[in-house]
Amino acid sequence: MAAARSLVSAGLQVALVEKGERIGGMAAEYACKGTDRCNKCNVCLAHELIRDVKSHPGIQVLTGSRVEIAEPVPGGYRLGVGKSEIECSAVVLATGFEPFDASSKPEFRYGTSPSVITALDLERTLRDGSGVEERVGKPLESVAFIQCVGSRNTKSGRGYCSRVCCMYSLRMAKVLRHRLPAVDTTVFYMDFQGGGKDPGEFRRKAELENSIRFVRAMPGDVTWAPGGRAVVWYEEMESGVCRASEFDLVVLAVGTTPGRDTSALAKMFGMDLDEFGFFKPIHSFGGASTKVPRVFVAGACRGPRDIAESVADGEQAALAVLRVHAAGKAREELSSALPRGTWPGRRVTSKHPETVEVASTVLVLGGGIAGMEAAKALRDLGCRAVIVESKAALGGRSEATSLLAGRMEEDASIDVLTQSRLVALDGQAGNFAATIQGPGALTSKISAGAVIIATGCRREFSESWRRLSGASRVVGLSQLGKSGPPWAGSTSCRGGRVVILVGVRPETAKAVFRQSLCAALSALAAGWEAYVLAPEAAVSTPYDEGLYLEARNAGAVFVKYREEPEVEVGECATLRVLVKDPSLGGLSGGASPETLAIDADALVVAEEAYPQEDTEGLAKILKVNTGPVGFFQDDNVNLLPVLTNRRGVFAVGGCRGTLDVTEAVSDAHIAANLAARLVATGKLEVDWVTAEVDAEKCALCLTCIRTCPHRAVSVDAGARVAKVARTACWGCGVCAAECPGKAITLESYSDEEILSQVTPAVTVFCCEHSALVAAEAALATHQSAISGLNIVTVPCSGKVDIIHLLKAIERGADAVMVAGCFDEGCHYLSGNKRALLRVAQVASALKSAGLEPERVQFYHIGPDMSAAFLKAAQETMEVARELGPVVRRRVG
Amino acid sequence: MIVAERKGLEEILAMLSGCSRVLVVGCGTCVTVCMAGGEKEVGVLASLLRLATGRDGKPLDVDEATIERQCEWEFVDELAPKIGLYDGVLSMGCGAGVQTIAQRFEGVRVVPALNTKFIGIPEKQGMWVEMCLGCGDCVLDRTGGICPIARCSKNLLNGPCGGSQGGKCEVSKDIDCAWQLIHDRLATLGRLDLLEKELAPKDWSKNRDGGPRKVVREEVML
Repeated sequence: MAAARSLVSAGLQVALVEKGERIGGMAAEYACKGTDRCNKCNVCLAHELIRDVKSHPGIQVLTGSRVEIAEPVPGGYRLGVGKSEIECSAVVLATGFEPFDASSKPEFRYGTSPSVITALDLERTLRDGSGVEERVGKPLESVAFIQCVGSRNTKSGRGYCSRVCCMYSLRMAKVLRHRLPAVDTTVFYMDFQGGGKDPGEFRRKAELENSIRFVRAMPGDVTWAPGGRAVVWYEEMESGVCRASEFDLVVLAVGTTPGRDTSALAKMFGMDLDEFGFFKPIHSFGGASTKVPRVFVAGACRGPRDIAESVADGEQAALAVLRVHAAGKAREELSSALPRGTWPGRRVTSKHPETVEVASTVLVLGGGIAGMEAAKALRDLGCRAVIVESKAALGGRSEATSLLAGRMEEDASIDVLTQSRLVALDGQAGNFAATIQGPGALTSKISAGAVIIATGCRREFSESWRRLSGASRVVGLSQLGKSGPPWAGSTSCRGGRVVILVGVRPETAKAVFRQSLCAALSALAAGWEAYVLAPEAAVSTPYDEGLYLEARNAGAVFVKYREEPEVEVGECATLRVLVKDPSLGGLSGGASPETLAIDADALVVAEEAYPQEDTEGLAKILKVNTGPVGFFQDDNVNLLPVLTNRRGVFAVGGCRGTLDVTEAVSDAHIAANLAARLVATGKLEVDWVTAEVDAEKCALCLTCIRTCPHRAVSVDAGARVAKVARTACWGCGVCAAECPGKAITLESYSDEEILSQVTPAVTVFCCEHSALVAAEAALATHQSAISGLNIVTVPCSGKVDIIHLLKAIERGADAVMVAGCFDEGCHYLSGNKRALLRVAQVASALKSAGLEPERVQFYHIGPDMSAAFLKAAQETMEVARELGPVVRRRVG
Repeated sequence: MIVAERKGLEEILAMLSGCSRVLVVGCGTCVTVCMAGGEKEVGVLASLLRLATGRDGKPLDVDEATIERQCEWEFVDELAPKIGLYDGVLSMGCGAGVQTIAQRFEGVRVVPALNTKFIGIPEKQGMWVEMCLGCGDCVLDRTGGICPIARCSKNLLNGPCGGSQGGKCEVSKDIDCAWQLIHDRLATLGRLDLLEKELAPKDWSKNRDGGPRKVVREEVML
């Protein structure tokens, strides 16, 4: 769906062939994992895609169809789909995966009792809103999640990590704890594989705030206790002690296996499969290309992927297709080769569309691998790229980029400004005016339609080990290639001993564990001993799991520590690493694990990624937000992977988080594609609804300028009023709701238009991205339960004005509800926070007027939470019934 | 700008007792900017008045109007055609606005919906702080651009007093000691020497001690 949406937005025609009866894939069956906040499960992205794909006339959706014949023809393929034929220029295979069949592991007794279910079963239960306890048939006191069911098991031919299960289990455990606060929750796991922007914090909160217990063990058996509770038998990996614990519910975190049609499709197109049966792209880590021209792969059909990664894959495959279309064409021809389509995904389009002239130059800040890849893709899509690099040469931290850097210098469509930096940025999407300071403090102005931030990150030893930086025989993991490893040239029959230290942050482990394994293998090959000290083995791709096995077989010693190891630097710079190995504690029965002292001849420290030092300053110049750890980009799933709070400004690679090179390149491609879609033709059709300021009423109080989450409002210097830039406005209406002078109107959502929908009935203001979708589903199935409910659609809950709520009550609505996205899940970033404030304000105002504050309520409703919507609506209607009319009936 | 804050609903209702038809009048200048009495606040207050009085089935008849500036005769004149329809006018302007309407429309009962607080600035969105007392004799040139009259709790001209502790005023830990700020600012400017010159006692006749003040400029008169 993501590839289709991206391609249709670029103006191509797309046929979407789906064998099932509906589009949406597995993700459409999952539940939103929002609790009181968004837990970043990304399920809503799938629902939004379904809506966009269904509503776009440029996408021909063929459900219940299969590709039966694929015949290469000049310039593409001819596909036999059922009885019809489709001629196409390229094929994107995004056929997904098959969940592991839990019944093929009889030791877990799946299918014999409602007390053992798979994670997919739990997803469906959470989704349909029938309580988990109802499904299990008893009250729940304790729940166990068993990870890696069908994953990381070489015996069954699935010697790979399924990548997504740790995070989905943790999210579901959070949802369970949220709904059933007393339930005792245990997660049996091997290694925690973090995903998302801040997995360390996510896990820490799960442990501390939600009291979710992590036990490192792979249970071997589930039996039944008298009374029907499930008994999980397991050996604690750390202590070696065998235990049995009773649970009311056991959830099997089933892994990802290749889709059933994968091998048939591979045969049809002449493609390769990897050893596990997933599609094999040319580059195992990145890019959508396969060995077959014009055939690309995206999503979980090429290996385990979460939803955000699958969406990113789809975007990347779309770029690959566009490059096929653009290949060999001059820049001037590209605009006809790649006509721009419309932006999908809007319910309401503007009645006054406007074509805005835009600059087709894109400014790329940073000339590392992400910046250069972005520039290359921009050139292929018909944009001129200007790379602004602070150092004297391109290349960034990656070593293999010098060739690429050379090509940049020669490319006519790419300008390179070294020893330069951005010092000011005026204007808005499509027409930014950048001030660049070059060597000798000379400044120059550049007009750019879009900006891609690719400034990378700073790699440094974490604070605990910073003092070791530069010490003798201590080297950073990322420096091994440059400085040569300590074991290079080691010829003595007894080599040395190297300790490789990986820090505690899961996202770092995810990004550097592979390099740590490579370093260990290289040391072992040179006859050295290798110790790898890490909190977890982060092996969330099939390749990493293989490497991990290889390293263990080759004799590398792994210690999964809980407390950070200490390093003693002795006289003559001897190194001794002290680490408490939890697996050495239990045998003696002691509570405290024994400390292992390793005398090392060399120490390799995996550096942590930190935001570049000027991140805050640059963020201020660009007017973009920063998020967790201080990297660019808010922690909001709607921005994934590369959007920022500002249209036309994208963040890619290490500047937006701890990413590996694969992800950075994927980011670069996606951002280039999005930027090109915005500006490549030099014209931008603004066909979405935007806010407009009534100059007569504007008091220039600056409220809109301060509250606009997208920084689309500025002072019109000539007229001395606020002005909304249509190209930059996302159309949320927050400014209109906040304006104290009532000077701002969002097209199609003026006060008159909204108030005309306000009736004496109980009224719900629904965010069209979340609650409205849920409301529509609820109405389709349970219309009678909420008949009489008045639903008013708003683009964002932040559009709801305090006056709308009061007027509804004035007109006789005995209760009013505002339903919007979860905290950190707002499509417009912060609209729902404004809405919460507005509801609280109305509640206290009602109280001051002698009315019950309960008459106004806010509910967080995800787009797939029709059951939650139904419950919330019924609660609100019940409040109205209980409190009765606002106007007291006069007695007699 | 003039900063104001709305009175409690109960107090407003008490002021309007006996009225049956009320016009709520907003002002499009200072009080719009400080979010106390612009068009939106007029709408909110009008709704609340109707709701509060309507509980027993006799809602107050409330209309809404917002004019550019309540402290200008021409703008206030815009109310003339309809003001006679009401037995009460609730001004959401500052004290100057309330009085301008009252003076312009003799015989109309005009009551204030706001408490006018001070001349100040929004320190951040949603928080306003006092900056100027309108004392009529500005000393900011000698105090590093920080006003001791408005921002020192005692209006001291040669501070600080003994109540300055850790940069805070003894009146409240939420109040910065203005004299600490002045000292720090002058240090930054390299002008601590200014503190060695005593400021002469203030001529309060330029403030309220001289009675209500008036500015007359013949050259701009018509």
